[in-house]
Amino acid sequence: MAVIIFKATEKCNANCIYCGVVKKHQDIVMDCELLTSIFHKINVYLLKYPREKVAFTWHGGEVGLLGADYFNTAYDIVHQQCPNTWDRIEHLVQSNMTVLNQDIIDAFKKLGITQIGTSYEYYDGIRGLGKNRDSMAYNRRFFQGVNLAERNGLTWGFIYVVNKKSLQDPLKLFIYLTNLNLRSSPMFNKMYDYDKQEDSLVINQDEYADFLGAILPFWLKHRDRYPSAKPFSLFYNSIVEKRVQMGCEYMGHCTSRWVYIGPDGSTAQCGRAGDFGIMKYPKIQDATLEEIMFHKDRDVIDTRQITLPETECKDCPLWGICHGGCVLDAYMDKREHGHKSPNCAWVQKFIYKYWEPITGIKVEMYNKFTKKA
Amino acid sequence: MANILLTQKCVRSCPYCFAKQHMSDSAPDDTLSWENLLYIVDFFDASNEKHFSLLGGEPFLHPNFLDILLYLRERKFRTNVFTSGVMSNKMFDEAIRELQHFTPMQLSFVVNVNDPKKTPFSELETVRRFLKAFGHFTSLSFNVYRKDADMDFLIQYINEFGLKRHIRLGLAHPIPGLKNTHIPPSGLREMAQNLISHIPQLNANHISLGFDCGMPMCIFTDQEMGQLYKNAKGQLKFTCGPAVDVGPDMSVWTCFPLSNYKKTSIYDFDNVHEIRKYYQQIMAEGRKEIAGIFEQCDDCEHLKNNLCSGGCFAHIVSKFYNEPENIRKFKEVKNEK
Amino acid sequence: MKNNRQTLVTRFEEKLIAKLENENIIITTDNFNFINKYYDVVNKQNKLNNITVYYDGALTSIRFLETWKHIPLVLYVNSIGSHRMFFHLMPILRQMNVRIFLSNQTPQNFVDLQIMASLGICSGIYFSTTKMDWNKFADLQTYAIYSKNKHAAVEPFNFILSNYKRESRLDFNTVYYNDPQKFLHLNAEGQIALNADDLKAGKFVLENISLIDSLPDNQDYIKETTKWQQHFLDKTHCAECLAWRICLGKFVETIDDQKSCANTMTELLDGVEHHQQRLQNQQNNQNQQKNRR
Ligand code: SF4
Ligand code: SF4
Repeated sequence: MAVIIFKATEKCNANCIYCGVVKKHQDIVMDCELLTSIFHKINVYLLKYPREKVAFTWHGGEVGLLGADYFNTAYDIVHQQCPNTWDRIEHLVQSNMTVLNQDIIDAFKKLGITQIGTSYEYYDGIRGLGKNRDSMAYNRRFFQGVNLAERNGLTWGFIYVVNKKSLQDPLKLFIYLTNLNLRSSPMFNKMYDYDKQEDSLVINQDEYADFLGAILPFWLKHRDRYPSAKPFSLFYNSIVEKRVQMGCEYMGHCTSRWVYIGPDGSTAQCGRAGDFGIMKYPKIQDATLEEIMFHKDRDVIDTRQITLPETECKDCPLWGICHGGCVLDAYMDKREHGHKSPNCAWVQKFIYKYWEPITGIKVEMYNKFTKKA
Repeated sequence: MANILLTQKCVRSCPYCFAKQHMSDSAPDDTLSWENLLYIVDFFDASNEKHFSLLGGEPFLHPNFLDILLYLRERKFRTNVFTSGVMSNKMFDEAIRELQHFTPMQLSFVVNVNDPKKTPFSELETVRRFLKAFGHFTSLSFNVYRKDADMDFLIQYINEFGLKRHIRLGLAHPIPGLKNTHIPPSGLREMAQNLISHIPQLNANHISLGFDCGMPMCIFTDQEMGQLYKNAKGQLKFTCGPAVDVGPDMSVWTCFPLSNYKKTSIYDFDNVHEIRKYYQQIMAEGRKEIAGIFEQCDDCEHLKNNLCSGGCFAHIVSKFYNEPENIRKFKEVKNEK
Repeated sequence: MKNNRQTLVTRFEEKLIAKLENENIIITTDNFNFINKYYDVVNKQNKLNNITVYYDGALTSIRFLETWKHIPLVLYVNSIGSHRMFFHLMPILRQMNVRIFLSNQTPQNFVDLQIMASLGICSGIYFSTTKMDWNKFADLQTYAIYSKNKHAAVEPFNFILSNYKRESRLDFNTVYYNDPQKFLHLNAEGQIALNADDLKAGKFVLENISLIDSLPDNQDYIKETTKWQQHFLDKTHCAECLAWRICLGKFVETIDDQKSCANTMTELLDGVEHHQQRLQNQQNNQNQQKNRR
């Protein structure tokens, strides 16, 4: 499945401290003409690859700011441009939930969206509305959005961005967040330092490993209660059940799977690449989707999967679950693609300081992971 | 049948009392709570054993005794109560009122009577009152602690009060580490002869004898065995095995004389069969060292054929009780399951 | 009867009942005198779910009538009364279709609930005081969940045991009819309140039952059904409590330094999950055996 991270706008009503998009301050909204041509190109791509599917992820900024009309128009365009392929396009959405209304939800449902991806923050002053980052106002509107979605039969899942404040009491935080949405436990992501600023909330590799380590014993004990809490479940599936199921950062095969499309038609490897402004490909106006998906600049990702096991990751038993980490992180760190990600540090610490001693399960070297093109 | 202790309190002080050890170690106000009773009843129910005996001290001294009987009847348990028959007037009146609708299938009493000649008058009166009221529920139990015990009064009681025509005969056993009145192994033969001398009279009154645990077989001659066999209609046993007693604090032990020997807790087991198995193993271990109360037990065919257990295990424990390293062992109250 | 519709909880009012049709109805009362009449009248064109009697006295002081045998009764009483009388009452209770709730007021009530359950009488605890004996509560809970013996249901444990799903919040107020998604409370005029307290306070959300289809969009209804979220906005103990999913802050007024409620309810949650796991394993084993055959 090809994943399109589609940002028709990067405008946002919120002002979250760790958001790379907000920092870009791009307020434009993609026009209808460009939107039409994008679906035209998707149609061409899908016609050429009849077994292929596209996950079309509406991302922002805050997608709710596009308004219901935009999505309704998109629906019409999809059906005009993709008369025989629309059923191979799966629409997904990421929203902060705070500006959703019934019309927007109706439009989502029309597009076949059944689930909304979102984020939530426990500590005040991190996610919030306006200059002052008003968390209470944000959270109230968040719950209104949640209620609206649930009343309409939509489910929601969320990401939690682990920051300096999260380290105060990881277990308490875990319980709070898993209580918040019993259907789907959060994904705990490490906070990134987009601007390399001395930002007080960014955590280092060690801290992230310790954060996860503090939760791990509890999670293991209650695995059945929190089956979807990530990254714990991902490690478990990978190590114990030998199902390689880590997130995209650890799969090593995002090469021709992902693409970011921005409001102005710019493209890049993935959403984060778009935020960072790296690993860019031609604008969608100037190329076919196929050309972008199989762009030669992407080869570095494949090459890295061949060179790393011989170089920086040589003999590392964790290769089979980590694959050198995300190429973007490696590039951001060293300004070259060929290196392992600096996240190597937390992965190693988490496994050797916490996972192995706590579970007694050693991570075995398994290099046989078959890379798919 | 297992025994549940309702209370430690007792109105009498019998010279042979084998609950002595247990009672001396427990708080006098230690009575079985409703919560614990419910647990015990469920425990036996889950073990598929819907009958047990209630013991004390004196069960009638438990503040909820009659309610407990009513509850057990609702749970369809067959309940056997070991009592002295001694109780206050108020309790007696209540018992008359509450137990009138019980059937002998639901409830039975075993009244432990002492020789009237040696019993205070007031006690004797209340026992007689009890037997008169509850005779049809009641059989007698008599603990032999003297070689020349008189049994005529038992026959008289049975005839006078229409009691069940059966006498449960217990031997007073030693309590390891404590002094109580009991017959030493050397005196058992004499006791047996005295017992046999009562058989014709028992037969004449259609009263059968039954032995409680720990009676050795070889204290009777073959001819005497024949007499006993006929009297008891073949229902004779010469065994000693774990009875399983449960205390108000949920502790569990094998039988009163051994109440401090490898005491555990009911919570350590899933069912009563597990408890029995546990104590059977312990007894088997002990009997590996000393087979029985007599030297000849070591090579006895009857023991090998499981016809006799070699007397009461408490005698065996008593023999090596005073060895210092054993005292510690006996006091152990931990689960070695 | 109207499927998927809330059960209506109301005191007996003949004119009101006459206006209702095909509804599931619970009659609440504090009077035993008209039980048979309630039954007959309600069942004419509606379905009587049960008659719930709130009785300020002991169970054993109630004179049960033979004619109640077929009537589903729910009794809220202070205690069972004397054990002696209770055991004498048992043959009658066995013939009744009755569920008996005792208050959490006295420690003995917790034990008596066990006694009732062990004798096959459906029962439950209701919370009339915030002074909770958590040890007794835990004992009862252990009994309700772990006892290997057959026993009658004890609420709210039975409700939690049979309805718990890992992926959704469970509100055991349903047991006490205080869940507007399942029960609505009507006054004599047919005005609708969301729970018993609102009914008492005269706080109504709908003027009559004909407006019921508008309920999902009613702001008060939405507020009531999403009020749990306030715990998360305020970051209360409850939002950070392991037992949240089965408690939803019911005991917030009893929270003490030892976190007794959280500890007890967390044990309950563990017990419930354990119970479900056991059932699941049994099911798996059975399936395996079937497949082998
Ligand atoms: S843990 Fe480090 S060394 Fe091992 S595979 Fe991952 S990046 Fe490479
Ligand atoms: S158990 Fe106590 S802390 Fe937990 S949710 Fe219930 S009331 Fe709140």
